[in-house]
Amino acid sequence: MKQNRSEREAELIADLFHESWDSGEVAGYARKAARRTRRRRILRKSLAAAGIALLLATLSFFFVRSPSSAPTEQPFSSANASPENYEVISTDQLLSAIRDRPILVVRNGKSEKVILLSKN
Amino acid sequence: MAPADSPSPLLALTTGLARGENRAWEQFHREYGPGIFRHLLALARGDADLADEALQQTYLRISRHARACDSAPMFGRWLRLVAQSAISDVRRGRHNFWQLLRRYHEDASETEAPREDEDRLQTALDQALLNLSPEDRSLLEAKYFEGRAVREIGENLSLSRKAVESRLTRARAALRHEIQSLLRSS
Repeated sequence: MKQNRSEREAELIADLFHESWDSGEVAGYARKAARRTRRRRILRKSLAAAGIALLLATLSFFFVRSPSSAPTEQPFSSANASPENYEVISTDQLLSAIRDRPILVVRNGKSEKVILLSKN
Repeated sequence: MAPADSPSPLLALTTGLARGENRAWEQFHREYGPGIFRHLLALARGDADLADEALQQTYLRISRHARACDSAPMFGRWLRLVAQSAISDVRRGRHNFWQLLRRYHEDASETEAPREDEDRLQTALDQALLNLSPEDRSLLEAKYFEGRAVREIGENLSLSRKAVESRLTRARAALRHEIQSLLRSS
């Protein structure tokens, strides 16, 4: 490789202060740097692989879990949520519907109350 | 002629550096190492130990941040920046707070210092070469500036290869001593 004056001076200076630039102690710096780079690359790849594995494990956990964890006490499922199956009534209509009928209030243990209405 | 899709030598080198390939690092050390060391020695004002330590740090930083690069000026500027930051940190590690403060006081302008240091080293090198004996100077010039092989120099001077190498070692030692004296006194 053709060198310019500055590069030749740099080579001279390097040789002045080092016994053997290409194979001596100073060349060990380059070998050490190469080793570090390889180690860092391996670590980076391992971390990326671990991250992907963790992501896949998390996603599969949620996908596997989601069908069984569907709420069982939904007031309306998609099946009974059709307009024929329910009716929106006013407060007056509600009061007239329960007037003079026995009402049973049951606590379900979760500080919730279930109101049962006897059939006419 | 190389195929159009083959990577440029610099791109191949920097890709190899980023991958930690031994061959790329050896080539980098051979081709760019002397320039980095020269720059560091200038910044260290002739303190070869400091320049050596900073060179090691520079290589480690390059190993951490090297990426494929196809622009020689950009790569050269980046190397200089990495080297400057490495020597600043090594110096910071070596000096205690007050020594550092005194140094900053002496160097009013940190940004202009590298150029001045480079000029100082260049002047010292030129002067030191002039101060050498004519035999030593012509020997070093033949080897380094004319790019002649040791065997060829030996044939011209009617000396054995070993004798030329021995003279070169002495001439380098004399030049190193001269440079360090000049840098210390400047």
